[in-house]
Amino acid sequence: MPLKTGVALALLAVIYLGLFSCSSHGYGYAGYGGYHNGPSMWYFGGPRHYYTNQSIRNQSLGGPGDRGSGIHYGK
Amino acid sequence: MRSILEDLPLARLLLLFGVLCLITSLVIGWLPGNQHQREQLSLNGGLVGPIHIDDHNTVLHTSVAADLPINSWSSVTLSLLDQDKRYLTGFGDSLWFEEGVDSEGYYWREAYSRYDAKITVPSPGEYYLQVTTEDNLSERQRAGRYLDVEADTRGMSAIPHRVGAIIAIVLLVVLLVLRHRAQLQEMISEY
Repeated sequence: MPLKTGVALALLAVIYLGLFSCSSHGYGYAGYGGYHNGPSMWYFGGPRHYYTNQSIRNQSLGGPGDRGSGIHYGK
Repeated sequence: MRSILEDLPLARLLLLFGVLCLITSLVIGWLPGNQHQREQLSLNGGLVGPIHIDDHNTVLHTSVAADLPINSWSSVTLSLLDQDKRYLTGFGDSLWFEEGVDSEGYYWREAYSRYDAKITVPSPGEYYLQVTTEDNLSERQRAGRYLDVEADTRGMSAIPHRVGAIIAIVLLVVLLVLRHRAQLQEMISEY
């Protein structure tokens, strides 16, 4: 086996094993690295909307509420 | 394929790497976890849980399916709450079931009645899923219809190996185009 091929093989093997580390840390989905993070561009499928922050409107009748977030939470 | 890769050991390695990453990604995505919860809620929503997360950075797979009547929609949001019911993150999508007749007089019926989502839960503990809905249904239409919500843990994320497979295939194509560009130019000029 030529040296260059051997080096490429070793490099790809290291990358392949390294990917398991990212995998076990849950890389790519919303919540990876904190709840303020949405999903990565590599996550195909899934719902259309992610609400990484709560949407609380002040000055509304009844005051700000701890009601989560989403399209139906606007007051 | 074999003949164009014959004199390119790096291309063969990339192909092998890409295929291996793709298979690994599929296997990781398919592997079930140790927690599975399924609850049937009314179309008004409700609370699912507690969901026990045992490890750091656990992937939580959730799915929502709505039994909607014809010509209706429901926007379903899932909020992840901690054990004290404090909001952590959320996601949602609109589900619908419609029918009609198109401009040529043909009857059509379409539905989008389910979505799946995966999120990473950084810390172990007990969690809840708050399901909230907004829809165009009357109380009478809601009666006897349900939302099926499932939550199950997965060991790892399938995305890193999927990324590895995509990058390897792109590199392979670039390598082959560069290696065989003379033949490609010849083929293009013939057309």
